[in-house]
Amino acid sequence: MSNPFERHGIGHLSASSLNLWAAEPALWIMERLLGRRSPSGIPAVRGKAVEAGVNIGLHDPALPVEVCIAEAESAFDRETTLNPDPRRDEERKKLPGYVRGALAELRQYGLPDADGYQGKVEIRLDDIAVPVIGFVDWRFSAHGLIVDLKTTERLPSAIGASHGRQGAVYATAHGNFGMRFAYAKPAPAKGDGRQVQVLEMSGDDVRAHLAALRLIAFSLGRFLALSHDARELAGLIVPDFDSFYWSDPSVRAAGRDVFGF
Amino acid sequence: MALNIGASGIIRPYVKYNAKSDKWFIRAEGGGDLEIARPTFLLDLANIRTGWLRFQEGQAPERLIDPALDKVAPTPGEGFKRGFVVMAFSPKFFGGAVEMASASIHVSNAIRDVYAVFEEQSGRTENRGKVPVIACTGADAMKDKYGTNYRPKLELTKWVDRPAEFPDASAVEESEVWKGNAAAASKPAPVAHVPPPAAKPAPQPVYETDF
Repeated sequence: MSNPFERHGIGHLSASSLNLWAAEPALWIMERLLGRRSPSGIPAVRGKAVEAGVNIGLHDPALPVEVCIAEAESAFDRETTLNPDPRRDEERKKLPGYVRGALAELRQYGLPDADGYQGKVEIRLDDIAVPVIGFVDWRFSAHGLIVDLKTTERLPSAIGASHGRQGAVYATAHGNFGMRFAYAKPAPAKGDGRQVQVLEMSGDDVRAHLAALRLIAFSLGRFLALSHDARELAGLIVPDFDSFYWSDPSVRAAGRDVFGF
Repeated sequence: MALNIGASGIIRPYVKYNAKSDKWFIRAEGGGDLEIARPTFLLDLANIRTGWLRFQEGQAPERLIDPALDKVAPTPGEGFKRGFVVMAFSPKFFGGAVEMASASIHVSNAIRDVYAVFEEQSGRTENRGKVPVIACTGADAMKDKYGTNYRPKLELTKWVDRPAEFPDASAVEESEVWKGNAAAASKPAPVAHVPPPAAKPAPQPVYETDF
């Protein structure tokens, strides 16, 4: 079998997988090759929970915000019941603010496509043997827009590279749709009162990030082609345990187990 | 050994579109411009380069080429405009391979749009290693504060094998490419919040057509 991805049981890639390979390859190896998956971090769970609450509020514009908040809290509780992260309670308190802010902004877009939430998309990158998949938050076909919600403590001034790569996959899968990221804070900013910042990718952004994804996928493919043995590949990479990627004690412990220190 | 100074005296064959008059020109044999009909030609979009170009009357064109299509060089100074450089090929219209460069906003927009089509189609298996055929099928009058200018209508009509006389090579010299700090130059400028789209009126069934 000549395809290095499928040789290691990888049938598809994703922007998040390629972003992780680019940022902390040791963790990618531990999770994706050796199957030692890390638990979702509290910020990631928070984001998913807020999305769940906002989603029902977008599809039913008359639904009271309190119901949407309850949905977000319920989703958060389900995912964090056994999570010992000390940030849990603090993050839960912020959910109402995130949901209110995001809904106030995104309800102005009208109804999203009925089948759009977490809809799977798939694209091919030139000369990469496996597809790249992703899951979009909302598609507003009436406006030709894809919108992805990000919860954050600070509003960004630009779309970062990892989000840009994610958006490039979504945009490429949707022809000429515009790709927007809605960054929501838990409360309005003290200075200008802004709580949500919506940024749109240009066509050049999409092309540039797609080209980067392809190069990152090439790098990963070349690495995987070095050996059939995932353990041997793990021995070629040194983790940066100072990185926040390893801050969860259970992840750090797994890293010690895999990399020996 | 020759010294790499002074002018070479060699002027590369070119094709250009005059957006003010909606006319195409190539370099005449004895120098000067020779008008030609609306051409159909191969355009080497895989090797197109963008950058800052300055065309001044009676002077050789000046240009500073971006290090990559997604990395913009800093503006070299007054009078430079964003543009492109690409090679084109047509034995019939151009007499062979020629350079096409422009900083006209209308020509650049036409090239940008046909490039988007090129990108979309270039990934198809049947187009691998081939070159797009571009036809100029007309022009749109564009009225603005500078009066009426024209935007050529460029259509990608088909893909063909690359002729041996049309090398797969960049139209620019390495010495023309900006060599500064690419990371700093490509740092995105802060962007503004995008407001929600305007609400769309509810469809009026009486005017709708069934398809």
